Amino acid sequence: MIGRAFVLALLVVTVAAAQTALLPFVAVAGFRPDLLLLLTIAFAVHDGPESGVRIGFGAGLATDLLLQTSALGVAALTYAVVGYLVGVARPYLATNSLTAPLLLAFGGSTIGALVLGLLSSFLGDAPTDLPLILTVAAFTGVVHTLLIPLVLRLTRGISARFPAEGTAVTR
Amino acid sequence: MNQRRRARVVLAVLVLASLVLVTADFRSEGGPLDGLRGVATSTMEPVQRALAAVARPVVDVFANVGELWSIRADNEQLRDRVEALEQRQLSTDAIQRENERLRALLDLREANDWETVTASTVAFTPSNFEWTITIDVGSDDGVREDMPVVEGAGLVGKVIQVTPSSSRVLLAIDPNFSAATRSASAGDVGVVTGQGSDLMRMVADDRTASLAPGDEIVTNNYEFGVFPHGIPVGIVETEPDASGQLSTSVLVRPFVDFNRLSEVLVILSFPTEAPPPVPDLPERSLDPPRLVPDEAPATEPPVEAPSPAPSEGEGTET
Repeated sequence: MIGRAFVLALLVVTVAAAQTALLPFVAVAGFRPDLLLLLTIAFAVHDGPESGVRIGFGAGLATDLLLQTSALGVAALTYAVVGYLVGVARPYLATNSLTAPLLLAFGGSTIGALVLGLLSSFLGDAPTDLPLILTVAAFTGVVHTLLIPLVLRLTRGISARFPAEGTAVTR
Repeated sequence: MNQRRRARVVLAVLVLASLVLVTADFRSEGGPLDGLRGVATSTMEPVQRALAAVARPVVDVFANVGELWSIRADNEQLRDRVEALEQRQLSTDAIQRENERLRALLDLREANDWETVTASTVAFTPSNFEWTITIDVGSDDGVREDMPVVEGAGLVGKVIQVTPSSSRVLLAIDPNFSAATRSASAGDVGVVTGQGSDLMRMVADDRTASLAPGDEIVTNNYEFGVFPHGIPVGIVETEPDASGQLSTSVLVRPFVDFNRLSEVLVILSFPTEAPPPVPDLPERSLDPPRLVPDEAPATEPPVEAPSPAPSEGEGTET
């Protein structure tokens, strides 16, 4: 368990650094995928709700610490809830189907970006326009749906080496 | 305890922890949680700097490979020659772009009597709902909160967090950002605010302001203002919307490409000076009073750039 926690913490920090240093250069119309939210969803799809909540909280906290104008804890709360919901929804879809992770990635990402945008707007220093929040949510949902197969490969590799406690691993 | 039940317990605990963090952050303005963000910025800065150093040449490579494909499609016979020139092309293009950026910064610094420090962008915000960058200069270099940040094309933003070796800059397109501005041609004054990925909005103080598409908007310096006079902000893109009872607003396209920020200047201090006279002012009874050169000294001794207004919102500038 300690080995898994260490590897996941390292992964979250690395992804946060990549998110801030690399992704701006591949922004589409100024928007970027949210790799930390995507990582949360991938672990929730693969390992279930408990992993989703834990990694969601850690990834959200990393996001919060790298932001300045929104309240600390907003992303941690949002990502933890998204991780739980995706993990809980997983058994209701055919776990071996190709489309299940895509649907979960689209739904989880859209809801996550929407909730994060609304909470940041209400709790931040200045409100963000609703059309902008909706645009970001739609963009995040579509891009994450395209990226989830790649990220799932990464999570499968990590979970195979460092399995989560009591997890029925889906392959 | 089954897995679903345990997940619910973990969720409840972590949601509670999140709510405690949100509440504590609201109640401790400038407290230990802000310090935690400073520690995160300092800790991540070397990693981000290394990744950014790797990323920029890769982006240049992709750009040039795109050009290479079109050349190949146009002229198959030159394929070998193009491939042989590829590496040379990549390096000269990258050097030329860097040279242009640095030359623009040098021109900006020489054209103004500012004390500045040059910085490189090492990271951008991880969120699509906040527009900030991290730069590689901090309090050790004389940087303090509220100092203006510019690049060759114009206004970039202002410093909102400082650690010894790095700082965070609130970009001018962030909804929290605002700056006093005026039209460079007619002198209509107002406040420009960011709107994220959308164009910036300038609200003119005077409802009869003669703003028009194509007008250049520059910063305006009031007493104790954060920004010096005349930093280019952007160009008016739309006809004025005079639906407000006391003001009129226009959308402004910023000069700076905020997705491609590289080298920037932090203005450590600047001389306070009267705004330049406005040519051919139309007669308007509601015009705000303006300084003319005879009424104000042309140049005063330099003052330190930051003039924080602690009682106001983070991005508010008066």
